[in-house]
Amino acid sequence: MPHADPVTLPAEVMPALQGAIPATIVTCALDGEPNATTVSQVHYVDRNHVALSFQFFSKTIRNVRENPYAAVQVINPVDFSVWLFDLRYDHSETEGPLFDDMDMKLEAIASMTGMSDVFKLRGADVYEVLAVRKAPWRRT
Amino acid sequence: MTSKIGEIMLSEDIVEFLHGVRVFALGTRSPALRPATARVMGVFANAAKGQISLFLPNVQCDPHLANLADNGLVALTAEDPRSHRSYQLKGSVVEIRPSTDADIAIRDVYRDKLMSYFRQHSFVPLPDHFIGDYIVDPSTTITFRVLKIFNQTPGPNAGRPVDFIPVEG
Repeated sequence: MPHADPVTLPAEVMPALQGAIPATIVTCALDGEPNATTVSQVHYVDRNHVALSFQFFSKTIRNVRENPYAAVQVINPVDFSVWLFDLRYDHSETEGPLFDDMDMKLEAIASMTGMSDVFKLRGADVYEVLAVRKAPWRRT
Repeated sequence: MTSKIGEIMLSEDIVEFLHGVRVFALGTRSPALRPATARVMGVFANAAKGQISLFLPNVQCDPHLANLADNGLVALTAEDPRSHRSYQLKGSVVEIRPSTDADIAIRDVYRDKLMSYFRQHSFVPLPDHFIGDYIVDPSTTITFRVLKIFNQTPGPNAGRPVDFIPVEG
């Protein structure tokens, strides 16, 4: 069900979605166990959706398919501000322009980090942005 | 060689790993199963007690303290930013208290090592204020008993339990 008042991603957050610094995602299984891990890409889709790279059949992938909520933190590589996203899993894409864009970007990230033999995009998991805010965690 | 950590056996290798230059992230969840994340400023692994103490700036404590008061469930990731070797430790809170001078000394050593690492070794050298501008005081120390450990290094073994050996007797 669409969010009643869709969030619009601020322009200030866009550099944080370039994949320069890995992001962190926390999800929760239906049995209540939280799960935290690193994600290579948080990709801008449109003004209130982002896509996360689905590379392995992980606990994160299983969790969001049974409990769609996720908390993500990304870092802006320009000013190092931290941004917090509250997300809701919507669907996964395994072909098409979004998948191709993320696949190309993941190859670049993998090459730069020596993970070319490991990183392989299985899907572009699209999430609705429920909330986004700049974390008050740093002196500005 | 292994050390006894609570109800599992944890290798010295992992304890040493946790005390190195790592990037840590905390995960908790609300009563409504809504997850939340924070950036942890270092940890101390107490092998004898089978517990991990993590140092969380108070500015990052919301909503984690409320979440932990509700259910006590902790997920902590630790990643070597250079090799991407990673682990996730899951467990249950045993104590939450203001950080002591000893905690803060450990945290400051961690922060200095992390700044040094990013200055010298990251793919894109990062200035000291990348770490130094994080607000770290006042700080809360959250201690949890480790119940599960998972390999999270990217690759085919990601997600597999590590050293999950029940203690005999």
